[in-house]
Amino acid sequence: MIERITSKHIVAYEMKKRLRQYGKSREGIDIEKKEVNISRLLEVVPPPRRKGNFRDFVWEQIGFLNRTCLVWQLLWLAIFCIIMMSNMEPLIGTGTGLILLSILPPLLVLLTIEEITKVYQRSMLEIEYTTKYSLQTLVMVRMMLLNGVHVVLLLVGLLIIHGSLQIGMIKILVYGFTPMLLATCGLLKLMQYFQGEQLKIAGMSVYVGIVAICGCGSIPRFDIYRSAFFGIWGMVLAVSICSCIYQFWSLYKTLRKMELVTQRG
Amino acid sequence: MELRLDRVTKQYKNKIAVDRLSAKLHEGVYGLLGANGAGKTTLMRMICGILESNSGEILLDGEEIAGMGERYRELLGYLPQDFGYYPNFTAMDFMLYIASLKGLDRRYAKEKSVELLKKVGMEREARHKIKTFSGGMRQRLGIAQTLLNDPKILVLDEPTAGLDPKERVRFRNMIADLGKDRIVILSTHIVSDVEEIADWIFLMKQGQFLVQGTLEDLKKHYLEQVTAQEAESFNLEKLYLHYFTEEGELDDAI
Repeated sequence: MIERITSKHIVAYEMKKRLRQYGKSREGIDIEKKEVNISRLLEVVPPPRRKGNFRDFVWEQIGFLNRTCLVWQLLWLAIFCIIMMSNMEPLIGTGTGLILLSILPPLLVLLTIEEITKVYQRSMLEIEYTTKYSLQTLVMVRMMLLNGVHVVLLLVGLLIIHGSLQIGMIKILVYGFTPMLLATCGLLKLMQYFQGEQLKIAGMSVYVGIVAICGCGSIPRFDIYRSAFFGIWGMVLAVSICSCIYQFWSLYKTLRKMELVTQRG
Repeated sequence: MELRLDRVTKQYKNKIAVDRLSAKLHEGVYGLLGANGAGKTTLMRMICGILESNSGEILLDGEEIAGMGERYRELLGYLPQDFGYYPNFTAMDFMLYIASLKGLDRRYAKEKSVELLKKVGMEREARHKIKTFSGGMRQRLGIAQTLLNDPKILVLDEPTAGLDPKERVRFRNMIADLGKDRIVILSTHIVSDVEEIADWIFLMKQGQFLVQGTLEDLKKHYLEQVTAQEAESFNLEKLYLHYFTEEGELDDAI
């Protein structure tokens, strides 16, 4: 028993001794040479790309948009075209057709309130404020993407129905885009004060207001679709474009500080 | 790397949440202990750049973090106290979403997400929706997302809330390992979490650091203030109770 223990110890001692001698007999690592070799290797085999760029970020946000929201938007387009192109002879060229042309596009904006504002969920705000592309950039990119989709869908819809309405393309564009831009302005302003369900209710209120104004077209005394009124439509369109740009900028500034965002909603 | 807090103050109307705090942080694990309302979360939010201080500065290697913007946020990993999520996202969707916000390449993000979900024991739940998760599972997911960008500054607010003892041990081992080459700031009510892994401990009360130091430093400080009998069995929990229990409160609790 004692012999076995002794021989085991001797073997272990010998192994340790030889390892120490081996370590001493080798030359120390030249750190500079090592760094040079590593950099040469990296030139041939570059390290995996860790960082994406801004274009990648925007592209990826498309993937994170809710599919249901996009389906609703396409459904809107189909319903819009069906309603406008259906054989409603009394409507063609009359105020009623134009009223429909004005009140249907803002619905596109209302369909996407939830998708835009889901990033405002308070519990996510803190994380989103501490990432490279913070909440400011995230909300702006999502809004640009969704509004871009709105513009494209509305343009497609207007082009499709152009033949059904006996009015020029310019009038169609003005009567279609102006209420949508007004709804967008209203929503951007409201986003600085409301979140979640409150924002949806406030958005609906804006829509009801737009419907009420456009509905005036059915009352001969207040017909805003008569030719004499077209200049005012043009002015309102120009003002709503400027206002949208201003509201985007204002919202961007509000999003800079989480304190401002959480105080509002 | 040095993160310096220089007389940082945050005031809300009549209340001073953080009161002229100063500290220098280097690589290692820093534990922040304090009762509710001590100012821990406010301090952590200021370190993360979410809140601006009313006065004082927070500097990283001599540069103010307020001016660094995106460059500072790229170095950060943050787990807030009330960790939020999008209910219909799966765990993997959520990791990829956060990775996207952190500006990570898609392919790298996928690999890193798989690795981190495995690290926190969530690899089987990667395709499950977060709304089906328990509190502990969500917390583990929250911890995983903080590490996506391999942050140099890791700020964790109550990270072990909802974790069972086995998960807490796993978490502590992970943090102890991470603290070797980055700044880890950890706030918690669970004294044993800090006691086991923190290199430096701050005790915070009413917006100020009551005492700070290594566990040994705190022990010396405690021994100077208590009787010989009380000094016999020192632990951090006793120190915590000594500073945060009002006179008579402990007797009532017993």
